[in-house]
Amino acid sequence: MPIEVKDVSYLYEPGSPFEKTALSHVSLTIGQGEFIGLIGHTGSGKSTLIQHLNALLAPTEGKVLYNGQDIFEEGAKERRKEIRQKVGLVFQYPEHQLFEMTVWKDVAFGPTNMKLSEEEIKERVEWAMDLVGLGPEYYEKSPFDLSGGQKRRVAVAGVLAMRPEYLILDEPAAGLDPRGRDELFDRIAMLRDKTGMTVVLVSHSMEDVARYVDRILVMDHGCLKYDDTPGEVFQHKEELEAMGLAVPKIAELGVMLRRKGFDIPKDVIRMEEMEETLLRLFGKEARP
Amino acid sequence: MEFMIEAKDLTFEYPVYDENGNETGSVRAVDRMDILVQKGEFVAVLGHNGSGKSTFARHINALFLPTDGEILVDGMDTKDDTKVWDIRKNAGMVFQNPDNQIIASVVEEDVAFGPENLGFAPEKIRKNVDMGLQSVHMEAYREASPNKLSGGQKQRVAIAGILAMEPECIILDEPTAMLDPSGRREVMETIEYLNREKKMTIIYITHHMEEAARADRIVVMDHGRVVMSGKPRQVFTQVDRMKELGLDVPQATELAWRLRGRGLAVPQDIMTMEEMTEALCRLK
Amino acid sequence: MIRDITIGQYYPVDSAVHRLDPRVKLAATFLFIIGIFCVDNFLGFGLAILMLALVVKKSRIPYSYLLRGLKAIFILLIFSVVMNLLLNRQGQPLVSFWIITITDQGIYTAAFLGLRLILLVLGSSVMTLTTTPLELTDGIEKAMRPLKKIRVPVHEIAMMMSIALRFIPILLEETDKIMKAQQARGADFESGNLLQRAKSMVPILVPLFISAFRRADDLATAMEARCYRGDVGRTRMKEMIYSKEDKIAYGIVFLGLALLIASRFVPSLPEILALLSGGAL
Repeated sequence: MPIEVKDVSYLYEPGSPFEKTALSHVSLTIGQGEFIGLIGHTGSGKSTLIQHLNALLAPTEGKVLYNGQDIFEEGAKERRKEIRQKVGLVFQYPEHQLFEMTVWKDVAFGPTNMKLSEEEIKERVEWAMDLVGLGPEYYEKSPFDLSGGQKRRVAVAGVLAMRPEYLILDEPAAGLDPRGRDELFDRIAMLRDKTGMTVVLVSHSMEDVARYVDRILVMDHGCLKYDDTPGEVFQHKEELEAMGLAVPKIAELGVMLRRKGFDIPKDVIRMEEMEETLLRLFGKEARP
Repeated sequence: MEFMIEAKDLTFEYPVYDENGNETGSVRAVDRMDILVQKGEFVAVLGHNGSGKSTFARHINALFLPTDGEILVDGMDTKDDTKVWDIRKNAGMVFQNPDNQIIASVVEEDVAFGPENLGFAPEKIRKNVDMGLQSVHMEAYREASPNKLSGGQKQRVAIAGILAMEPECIILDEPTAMLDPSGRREVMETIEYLNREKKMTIIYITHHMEEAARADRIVVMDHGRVVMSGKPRQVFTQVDRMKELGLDVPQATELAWRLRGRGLAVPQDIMTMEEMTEALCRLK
Repeated sequence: MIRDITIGQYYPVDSAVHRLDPRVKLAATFLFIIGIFCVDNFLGFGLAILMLALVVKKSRIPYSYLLRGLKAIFILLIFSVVMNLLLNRQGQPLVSFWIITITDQGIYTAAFLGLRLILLVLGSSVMTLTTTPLELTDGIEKAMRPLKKIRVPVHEIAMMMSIALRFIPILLEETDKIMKAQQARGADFESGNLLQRAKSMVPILVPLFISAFRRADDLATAMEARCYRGDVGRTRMKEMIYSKEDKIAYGIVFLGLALLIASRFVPSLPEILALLSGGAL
């Protein structure tokens, strides 16, 4: 069931001297099973946009449709509650919202709020913990005794336990070291393969986004500037840099090599693809 | 005096308690670490979370005192009680979270906080604050509230606050971890300017390999010890070793390593995509 | 909702009021509060409102911005006005049904109380909006300096206040964020009885406290790293010396207070009429 954002604008503190346009006429559709990257510098409106997707913010203008129905319709409170379960939102530094005495109870918070049966809750917590790779030995631990990376995984499990159809992650790797970051992203890619969930990855790291997603949305000053495949988006190096963003190094290499006459397709933006492409190129030329 | 920092057998242990508050053992965050940093040097410190980088950094500022061994900052022993304030004045520290190190609600008053603590005369404080803000290009924001600034701007204000104390050395503990690419660029440019133009010693802790590549020297820490040290090119060419330590190398270096592994004869010491392009053109 | 609280937030423009010595503004606020508790008729309140309006005009703070600060005390305001209206039994009863009696005296006291509360909040907001928290605490520190002799930790109190003020907006924003994060996990803060609602605050308060402690720890380290050691040997960039404007401002403030007190003795219109008719007789 797709989420459609139709001509949405959002103003902060409308009518005050601090009025600020956070979103301006944004339209897009997120279909089921997509893996999307949402990029933009701080204050570009990406956080505001994702809060519209799960009904935490209501648009000043425009509509957000879920399965064809307006989620901000008068009297659609139940629909909004349902949306928040269907669209799981993992905020930046999600470990900062842990509050329960045990990992189990914290992960069970979402399902409990959904008023599910005991068995259903149990099943979901176990399923979510398994997805983030934390075994039963963690169930009774205090979340505050875990390492930073583990805490974050518990927090992600807390959202997964609601069995969302959409999973939105805001800067999931912030503050992790390279190994922690790779592990987390690999896990997200894996759980997407396993569950078929739609994943929206919000990040300002082009490298991370380029590695996983099929489609990129670029936000700048509240406007949606690009909505395209990574290969196409990263052709706009100068424009992206002017927005305070950067192109992945591999895409940059692609541009430079093309200028020198190498035959590198535009959609080569990942390390492995570049490796194979170059080997193929040189392999052919090496043969007599 | 040639060295800004001399650490010998530097060791730091802290006790671990169980649920009832009984001591059950201790953790060695820094383990017999030796390091020399020359004046004017720009050293990047790498290592995974928990490798002891931050603990080491806090020793330079005498925030932590060694449980064993010693560390001299500009020739002063951090264990000497009478030198603590001189050490902190000489080796300023910038932390990861920009919000949690800004004390005042107005930019210039925050920059003045350090020199005020040092008891400088009002005119001198004024002069240093102006100079500090100019060096980080934030003079236009002197009256602004820190809450209205971007992450990169806040970190630059934090750096200005250190500069106003007239230090010789700045230690930055993952200052860009919470910033977006443009914020990172701003901070990095500021640091390079201070090192090159003002000849300041820089100790820069980071997880971003492209940033570390711009330092004079990279020091890699693991289990509280220095396990690698050398010019960025020397360190990054040891791709296997870096991966083993849970770290990255610049993308260009990794690509070179992968291509070499599959029989394409590009040089291993490539660090930028420009160098990679050149190398590939030569092979063509 | 959380963004509406303007108390303790500095409004950064340059104005004559902004430039005044914080001690002047502290004294003025204090005397203004005394003043509004002295006045007991509409003339006095009119005067007080006029004075405040003039100061706000001079300070270049938009009236609408200032008035938004009242939203934070709206419930308290309604509550105290209504209580006064209902519980005051003196004077002429105007309306009376069941156990409720509203008297003319009740209306007066309720209106005066409401006006006092509003003026109190607005008056102190003007001070905090035109004075940076650091200036304010400096002012308090300096004004309270004599107390140091009797071992009151004046500097520490001032430092605590200034840090509290700096972190109020940050913690409010954080509360907003945590609330949203828990709402995204299906938390409901709006329905249920009082007990359930109180219970639903736990998922907000625990993370908020943890975060506050983490920030406190970070901040203490950062302050220490910047050579903070209490007020031992500490100097200030901006020394506080009264300027000519400050002295004039003091004069105006005292004149204002005198006017407010004098308003008590101006007879009201019915009294004047009574006096006149009495004289005619």
